[in-house]
Amino acid sequence: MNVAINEAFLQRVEMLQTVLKNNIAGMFGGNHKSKTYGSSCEFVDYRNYVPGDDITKIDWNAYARFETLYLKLYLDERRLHTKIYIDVSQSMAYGEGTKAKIALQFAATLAYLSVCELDRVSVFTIKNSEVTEVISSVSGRERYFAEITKLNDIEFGGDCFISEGILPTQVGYGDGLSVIISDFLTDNNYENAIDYLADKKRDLLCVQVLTKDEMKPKIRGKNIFYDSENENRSYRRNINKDIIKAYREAVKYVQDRLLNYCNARGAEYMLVRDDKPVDEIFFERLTAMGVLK
Amino acid sequence: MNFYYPLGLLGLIGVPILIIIYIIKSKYTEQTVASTYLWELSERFLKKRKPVSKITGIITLILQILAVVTVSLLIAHPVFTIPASANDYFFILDGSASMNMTQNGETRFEKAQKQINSVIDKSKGGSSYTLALAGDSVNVMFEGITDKEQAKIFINGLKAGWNSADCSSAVNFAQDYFDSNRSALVYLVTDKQYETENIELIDVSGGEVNYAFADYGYELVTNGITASGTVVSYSSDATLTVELLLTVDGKETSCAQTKVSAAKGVSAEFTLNYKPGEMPSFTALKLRIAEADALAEDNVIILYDKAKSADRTVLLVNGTEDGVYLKQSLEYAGNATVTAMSSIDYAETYVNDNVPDGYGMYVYNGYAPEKLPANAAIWLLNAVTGTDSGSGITYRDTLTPRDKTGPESYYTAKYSKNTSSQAKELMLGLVKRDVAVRTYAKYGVPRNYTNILEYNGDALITAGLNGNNDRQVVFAFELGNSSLAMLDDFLILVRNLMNYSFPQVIDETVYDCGENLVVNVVPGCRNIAVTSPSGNTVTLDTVDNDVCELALTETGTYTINVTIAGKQEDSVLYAYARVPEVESRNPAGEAIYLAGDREFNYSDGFYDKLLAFFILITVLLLADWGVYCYEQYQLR
Repeated sequence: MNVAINEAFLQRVEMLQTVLKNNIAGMFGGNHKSKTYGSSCEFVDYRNYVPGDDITKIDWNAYARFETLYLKLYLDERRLHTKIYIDVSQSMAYGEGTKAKIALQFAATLAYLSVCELDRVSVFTIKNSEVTEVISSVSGRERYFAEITKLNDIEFGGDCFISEGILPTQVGYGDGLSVIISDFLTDNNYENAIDYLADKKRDLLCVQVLTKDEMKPKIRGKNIFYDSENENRSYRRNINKDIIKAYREAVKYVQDRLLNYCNARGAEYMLVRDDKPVDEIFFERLTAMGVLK
Repeated sequence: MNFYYPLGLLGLIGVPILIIIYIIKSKYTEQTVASTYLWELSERFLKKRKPVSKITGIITLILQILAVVTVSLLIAHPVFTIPASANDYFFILDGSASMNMTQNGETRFEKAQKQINSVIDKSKGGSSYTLALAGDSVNVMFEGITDKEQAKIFINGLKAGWNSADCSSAVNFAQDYFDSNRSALVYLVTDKQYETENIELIDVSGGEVNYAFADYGYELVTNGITASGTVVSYSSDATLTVELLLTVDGKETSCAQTKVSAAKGVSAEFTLNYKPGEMPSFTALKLRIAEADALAEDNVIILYDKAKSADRTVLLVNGTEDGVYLKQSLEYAGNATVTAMSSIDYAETYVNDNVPDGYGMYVYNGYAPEKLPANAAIWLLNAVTGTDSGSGITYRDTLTPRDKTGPESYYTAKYSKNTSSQAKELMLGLVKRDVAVRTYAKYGVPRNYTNILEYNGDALITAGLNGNNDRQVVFAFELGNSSLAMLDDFLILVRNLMNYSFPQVIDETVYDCGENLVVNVVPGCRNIAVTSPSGNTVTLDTVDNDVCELALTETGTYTINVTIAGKQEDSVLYAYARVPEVESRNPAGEAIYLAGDREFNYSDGFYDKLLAFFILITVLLLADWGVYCYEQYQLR
């Protein structure tokens, strides 16, 4: 799968910034302002000196005027760790592979945005119950461009058990954004993974990738459908308007189920259709949702 | 159930073809999709299907089959038999002149047509229809038609005539029909009141207002004209305006009018005087009732001048001594200009088949020319002609009594007892005393000759057409050898024979519709053409006829064109055919009935009004099919 990223597009992406909800608990030296006081250049407030405080932060000019020791407080800035989980099951790549392509483009773009914000980025694949780290804690644009081509080597296949894959892994605590990119067309449990990431105070974005045909199938008549992930699963029906109507309700149900669950856990949900360009997703959809600014 | 066009059922072959196509096409298509999850999940949202919805999978096939079946039935046109429901209808339609009376823009005849159409519409399919139109004669217009529409087309194409109609005669036809089918329904559709039995009377009279002339005439008086007659108002008392119009130089001018109070059904006299000082020469005199009524045609009478006879010019060729008396008789009784010449001069003048010309009549008295002139009347008195002369008669013998004196010295000739109209005309006014004839010639006379005086079966005076098709009178004896010239009858006979020899083209100018126009074939006549008021021209057969007749079927002015040999222009005459008085009066008819008891043995009828139903069903099915296909397309 070739992840074609446009240079001009990446330059525009640099102008965006991630908006995080949770307290930031990353490492020092990042670009994200923490809710705690730290050692950045941005002055925030004064407080009385108490013994043990760093005396280098005492404002001696204030002491000269008020004869009281005040400590100058500065905003803390943290370096976060963005973790992107990509569903690489067979359903994501079947047919023309447009779901896989849009998923990888989305992941690459988001990774670049994080790198630009001086954050670290890791990209994981979920195949069956196994989570594989494809790109590990990349920081800096040079490393990004060196590592990002690894996405092209990802092979799609098998099934996807999101919860079973993510739960055993170390996801950190309050140190950035987690993104799960999948079609979520499965009975398998993904709620536990969302709960787990929310519990770890990580900002979470669930990206559901669906094709246009999956949302509005054109097929009619007598058909037997075989599941690309499991040949033993099949669906045999004379597709008529009643079936199509029920199918559309099913699509809505799947979307609503994920949306409601995300909303309940403070996570973000976004539907991405394969016929929509990536720049529209980033510059319109994500900014409108408040995930980016 | 039967079918008009059973071959249409061949379309049902399409049904198994559709089913086969459906079976072939209904194979499941296998394909792999990214995930069957959504499809399986959709089962949860599939509403519980009603039993009828189970056929939705084959709704297309059902619609197609139903469409094919209905189209096939549409073409085959099914007919359902209804036992003992059809009947045979016999309509007698009055086509007389009174049926042309109009009320509210509709004639009685049109009303009658609608009534019959209504009866036909209400009748059961499989019934048969017969119609007799009673006009001047009774004509069966159609018989035993079972197609309602065809019968109605025939009926709507009929028109009322202008004659009187005798519906009683039409009933004779109905009686024959009724005798062969006692279940038949016989309708008499008329405007006259009849008492009927076994006949359904449909009265189409509507109490219309009608005025008409009952009598008419005119008289030329000093410096003017007086027209008189009677008018009748048939429906109610009325004051009528009678108008006199003259046609002078082709232009019609109103000359006088008068008001007449006419009690209902009673003739009221009128007199119209027109005295312009100098009476113009007119070609037609019209009498008109100015008030409008239901039948305008009987409100007008047009009187034309009779055709004047040509000047009666006679060449008398005498071979005997009694020529002077004959000449005077012709001049006096025959009102003719007579030129006499001796047979010797005649023979010297006209030799080598030359014949004289320029006279209307040639009288050969005791002299037989070698060849008779043509285009003129001929009298042959004791003139034994040769076979080639053109007389058409053949000399056989000369009969002379045995005795010179006494009762056996002459033959007692008697007038013919022929009662034909021509014989009556020729013997009009004669006392018919016996005529003593001393010697006569026995001729072979053509059958179409009319004998006037006979002896022992031999024609002594006879008249008819000769070989030139000219009027010819033959005396088989010499006047001087008979008592005829001494009798009163002689001058009357000469007058009648002259009238015969110089006939007027028409004797009457006013006829009732239904009567025959009588046209005399005048000497020299080559052609007679009669043009009816509607413009139809009929050429009368003048060959071997001295009188032609034509039935008058239209009201109005008939134009008679007579072509005379040697004349540059045709003689144009006019005759007016009026509505018969009885039709204006429209009296009640006598009682009519069909003899015999009615029976009720109806035949099987049928119902075939399914065409519209099948068309409707087909349209609905095709529309439903189209909507279904459109919905499927929209869901894509």
